[in-house]
Amino acid sequence: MTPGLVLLLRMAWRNIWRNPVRSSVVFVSMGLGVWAGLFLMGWASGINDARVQDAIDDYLAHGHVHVAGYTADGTNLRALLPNAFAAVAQLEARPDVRGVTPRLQVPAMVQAALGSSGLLLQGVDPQREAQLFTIPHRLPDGAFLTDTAREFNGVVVGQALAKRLDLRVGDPVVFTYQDTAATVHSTLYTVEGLYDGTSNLTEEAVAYVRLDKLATELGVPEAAHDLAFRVDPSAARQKESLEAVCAQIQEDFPEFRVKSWRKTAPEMGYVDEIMAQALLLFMGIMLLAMAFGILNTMLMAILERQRELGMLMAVGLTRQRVFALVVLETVLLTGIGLPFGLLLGHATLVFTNRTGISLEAFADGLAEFGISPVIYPQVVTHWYLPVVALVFVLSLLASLMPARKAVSLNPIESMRAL
Amino acid sequence: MSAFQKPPQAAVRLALRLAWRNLGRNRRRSAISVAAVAFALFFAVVMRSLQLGVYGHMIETLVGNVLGYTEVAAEGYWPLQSLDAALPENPEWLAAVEADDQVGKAAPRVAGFAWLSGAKGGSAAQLVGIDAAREKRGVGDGPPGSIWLGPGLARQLGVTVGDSVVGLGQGYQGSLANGGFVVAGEVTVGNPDLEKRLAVISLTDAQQFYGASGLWTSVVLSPDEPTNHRAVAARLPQDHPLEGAVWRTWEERMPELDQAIRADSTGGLVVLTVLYVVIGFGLLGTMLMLAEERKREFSMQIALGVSRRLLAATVFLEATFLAALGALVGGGAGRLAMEIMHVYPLRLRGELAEAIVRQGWAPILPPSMDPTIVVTHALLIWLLAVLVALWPVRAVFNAPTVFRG
Repeated sequence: MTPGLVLLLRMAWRNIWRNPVRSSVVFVSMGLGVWAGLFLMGWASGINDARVQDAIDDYLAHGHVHVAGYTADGTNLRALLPNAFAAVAQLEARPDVRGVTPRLQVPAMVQAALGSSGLLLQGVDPQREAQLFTIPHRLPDGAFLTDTAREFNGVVVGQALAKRLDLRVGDPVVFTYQDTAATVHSTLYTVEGLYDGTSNLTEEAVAYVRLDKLATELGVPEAAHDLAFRVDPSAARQKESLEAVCAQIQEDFPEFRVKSWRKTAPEMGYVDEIMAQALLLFMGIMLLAMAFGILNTMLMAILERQRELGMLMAVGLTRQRVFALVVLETVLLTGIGLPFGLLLGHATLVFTNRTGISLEAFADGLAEFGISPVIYPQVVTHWYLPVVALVFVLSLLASLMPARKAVSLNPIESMRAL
Repeated sequence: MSAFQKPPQAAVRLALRLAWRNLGRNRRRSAISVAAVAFALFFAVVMRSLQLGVYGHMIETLVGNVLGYTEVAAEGYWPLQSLDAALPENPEWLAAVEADDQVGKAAPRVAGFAWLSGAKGGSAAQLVGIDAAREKRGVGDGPPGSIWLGPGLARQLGVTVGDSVVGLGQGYQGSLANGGFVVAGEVTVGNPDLEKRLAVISLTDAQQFYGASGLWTSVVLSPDEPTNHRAVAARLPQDHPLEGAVWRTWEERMPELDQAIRADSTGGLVVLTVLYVVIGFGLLGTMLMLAEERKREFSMQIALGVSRRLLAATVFLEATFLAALGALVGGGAGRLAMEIMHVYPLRLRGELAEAIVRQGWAPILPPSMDPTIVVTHALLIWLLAVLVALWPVRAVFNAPTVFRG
């Protein structure tokens, strides 16, 4: 650092404290803005992380294996994996895979005594399903396809559907679906359990039956539409490591498609990025709004120092230095509030991340979107640097106009000014 | 009488003139303050308009097209939506409701679920019989046995116009419902997810299919003006009573959707509050300066006998003018943006659009054209400015009569 710069820095620093009240308004608004922005980001991130985690635990898993042409809504019945069990065994043998479950999926109509509805009937292996997902463990009533009395015709439906069709455990229901040969089957099942999903939409849209039962009905023994798998938690956390594992698995199954949850349910992954980008944009808009205030403050500071600046220039302070002085002062002015905002934001996020924030008032509406009513904001350290950069850039921008104004002052006239 | 001791009315006029002229004393500062207010307001208006517009679109597609703002059905119909809880036809009552000034549409329906099979596949579908003349949706009007399918449903069944479709389901009081239909066209409601399982037939065909002749499962009502549908829904049952029927607004039938919208809307307001606080500080900075640079002048004027009240009124009015100008510019620009987006709605593209479609919504962001958005937020930001203007007012009252600077 050149001595000149040190001098300029010292001058800028002292200038800031010439009018503490005015400077404080800038610090406080900057600190408040950064704090609020960080908190909103952490909040949004917390909501989304919980939503993704719940979806993964409910139905999404970490990755899927299926054939080309498969659709998750079960509309392409012929997209079958032949020899599904051999593939399951092969997947299970991999050290990086933590569990696999084969599934058959068929769109069906459910008819109860009092009404009917459309849904996706999912044939699953109860033990394997219970290893991968939380739904088999979240049954307020009944059992998850393990009741030997109803072994071959049990069905587990969501609470929301049960409420709508007035179903209880033990009630008979008829499922109508078409097999791969387009023959329509209407089969009687008995409600064996009610599950509690994270989202009401899932609860109404998916019902579970035994895989072997559905395979026999559809005439496709040993086959499955989808193999859902979970990988090592450490590999699942990062987008890149999960994609790497999926790519390795893909090499084992060149004839099938291996996709991570980000590919099968892209809306889940994007929401995260979209929200963060939207909030960064909002932060930018907020800081831009703040920049108007800073701009005004600095312009004012220049005008009231007209005399002094004229004198400094008259005794030999170069225009470049005057320019640098104003820029430095602006950046310092905004820079003081920034660490406070960051620190306060960080502390708030760490604290609320531990305690959680309850939104009981909106619980039902949030459940509709698969959001649990207690939000744990995330400590979004990876956004700190972009926020700092944004503040820096905007304060630089805000300093340009006052700096130009200062440079354009005529030393002699300025000295005579009031 | 000196110029500074005029009667009250003249004093107000003087304060107004002084305040207006003061705006020109530091034009650049005034312009920046106006820009700050205008910018914040513009952003708030656009954001709020889009947010409310998306809800409006959601409600319009789901409620206006499918659910109906108010539904009249037999007791016990909701939430089971069972055919067995049907209402007997009542054309006189329907005619009376239709004749009501505040009712835009009243249409009876016979709705149920059926398994539909086509050439390539089958699917469960909500098979709804509608009164084509009353629903005015361009579907449901054709030769007997016609069916209109959602595009997603038609794809799943592998059928196009002219192909036949077979329906199988549960009819009235446990009877077996079955019948064949000929595809007459598509029915679209703006929600691809819903269109995967929606089929429409004529009311009489539905009554025949479900074995429910002489019955309606529900009558859906739309008010002339959607904004006051709750008031209309509260009044109608008294004016047009129907025995054994229950009137339900969509909020009562879909409390989750209503709550989800409220929760999201609250989130948007929180974000705007943060913006307003920041803008408030920016304005406070301007006001501080304004008070600071005129300290000398205030003292001199007070020493010369100008009343502090007149001075205070002047700076207060000055701040109010600044904010009002900003509100005018920002509100105008915001309204202009709303009009432009109304004609050319924002269309989402790429992965984001796909994600939205997967959630069952059309990938467009229609703005809400509600004029109260601009007014509310302009008023809010103006009030904020007025609050902040109390600082220079305080400075006037604190100014010493003798200033040594």
